[in-house]
Amino acid sequence: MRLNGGAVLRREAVRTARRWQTYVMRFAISGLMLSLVLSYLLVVHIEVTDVATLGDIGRGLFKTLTTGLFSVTLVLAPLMVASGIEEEQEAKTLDLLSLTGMSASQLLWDKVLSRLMVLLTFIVGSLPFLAAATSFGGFSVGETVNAIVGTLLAALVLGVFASFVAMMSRGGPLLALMLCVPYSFVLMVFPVLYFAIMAGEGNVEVALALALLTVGDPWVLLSVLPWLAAMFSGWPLAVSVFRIATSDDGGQGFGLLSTEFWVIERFKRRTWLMGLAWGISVVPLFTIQVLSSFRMPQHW
Amino acid sequence: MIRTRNLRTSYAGMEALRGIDLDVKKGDVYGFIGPNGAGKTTTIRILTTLLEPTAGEAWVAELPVWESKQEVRGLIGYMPDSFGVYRDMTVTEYMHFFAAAYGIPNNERVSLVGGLLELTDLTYKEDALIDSLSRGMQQRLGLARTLVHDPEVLILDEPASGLDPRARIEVRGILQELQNMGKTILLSSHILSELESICNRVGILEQGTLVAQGSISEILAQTKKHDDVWIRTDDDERAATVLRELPDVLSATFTDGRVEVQAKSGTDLSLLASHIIKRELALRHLERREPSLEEMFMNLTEGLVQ
Repeated sequence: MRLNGGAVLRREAVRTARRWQTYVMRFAISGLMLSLVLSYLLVVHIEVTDVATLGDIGRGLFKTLTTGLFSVTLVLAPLMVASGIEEEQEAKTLDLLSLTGMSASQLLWDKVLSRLMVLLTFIVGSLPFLAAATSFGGFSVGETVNAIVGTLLAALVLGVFASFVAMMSRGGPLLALMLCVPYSFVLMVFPVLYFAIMAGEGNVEVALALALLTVGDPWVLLSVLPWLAAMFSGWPLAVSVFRIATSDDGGQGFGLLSTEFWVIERFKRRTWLMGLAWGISVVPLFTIQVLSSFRMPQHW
Repeated sequence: MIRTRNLRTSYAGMEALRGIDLDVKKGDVYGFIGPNGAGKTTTIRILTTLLEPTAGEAWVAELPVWESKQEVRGLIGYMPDSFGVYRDMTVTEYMHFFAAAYGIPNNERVSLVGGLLELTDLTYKEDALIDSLSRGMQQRLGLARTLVHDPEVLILDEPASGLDPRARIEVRGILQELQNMGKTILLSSHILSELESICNRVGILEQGTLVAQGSISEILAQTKKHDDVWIRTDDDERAATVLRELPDVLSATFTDGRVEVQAKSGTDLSLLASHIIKRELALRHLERREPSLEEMFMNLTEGLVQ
């Protein structure tokens, strides 16, 4: 049996730790987290009257931080993975690796995972800020884990997607980023639009719930084919912002702010549809990735 | 060891290879010569399983290249014209990485890497970052990498390109050592004097066609149209006039302090010498000049590029 599995992953771990860019990036992301915390506290100006308002602050901070982290991941994951592949192409080491007998999928997985490790260190770097938010209360450790796992899953899917793009084309990072534009559109523009429409009709509470439902949803991202999902649902492409955003008890993370029957029904239906879309689109993608026999650029 | 028959490849409708029949025997150091764009790298990429030919067949150790890709990959060590190195790794890390990628067990890697670094004289640089190595050292490291899985055949694309004279001599020394170890080596180069000193066989490629192939003396015999003779006497100007009287002499010119004679192939040199002496000229030097690989190359090719 060949023992070459993980060779690229180990190599990338060594190289990443040696690069000054890694530390600059960590510093920048920590700076971003800090600025999010400060901005939130400055903008919101909640008067602390009791423990409950402290909880509101904590929850607000949590939502801000996790959404910020998720948005950064959304951009960084495809960029980092695609640039990793492109780096091999430019150094002409891809040919050398293919001659070792290493399969395309082995290389891709190692590349994706190595870059995700870096992203994980960024996320770990943001934990002190989340810990600080925890001291206010308003959200649970389970929700934090949920948010981080969701972010990592989204990074994994985007990373795999970007690795394909980079492998099959020149200018991989740019193309990978361009392919993320639809996601950004879904995740950022739609919520704002819906918020505006609903608020305009005087239903601020539902509008707010809808906005929260759509911002930065990893399950939308996981569906890979969000436009197809949109055709099925006819509603904003979302289930929840890590679900916790819609929670009114601050603990379970599965409740809805709205008590309107039709909102709840549509919410349930969409959850199933999203699951179905995810299954239809992501499972084959991962299966293909696992099978090394698929036709990659000629020599693979 | 390496054989191709009617190998053809086209890019965007343009023929890069037009039916190459290559024959490299076991233990050969085969020089692949040709101007830029002649098709050397294309041929090499086909032989290394990195490019599928449009038509024709290729074999390495009797294995069809495209049908037995994995087996062929295990038999060849390939060094591309670019170094193919990770500049932010150390020499040892780089070697260990490729050893791991080739599936060499962990407990064998240390001695293997040590031996290869010694062979390429890089032991003293084992902890240095690749980025800090000179071009020649990086090229030697590339050579060491090609040997990690102990391949029978080495395919080297321009191994001496961009190297200073010292580095070239070092690379040449390693190649000679590898030849002594029984490796079959196919290398392409523009530096014909380098190939002349280490290759026992050459193939000359132009515009995707192999215009000549064989040992240097065989190709010389194929291409030789006349004998070149250099003569020096006490009066070279008169000697040139005198020599032109002989029917076997095609031309005789006084150039650079000597008479350069072009005579019919196989002309007896004693005939020239006796004719000069008969005309009361003092003969000081007489030499039949064998053309260099460079001259052979110039005779065979027209400098055309695809």
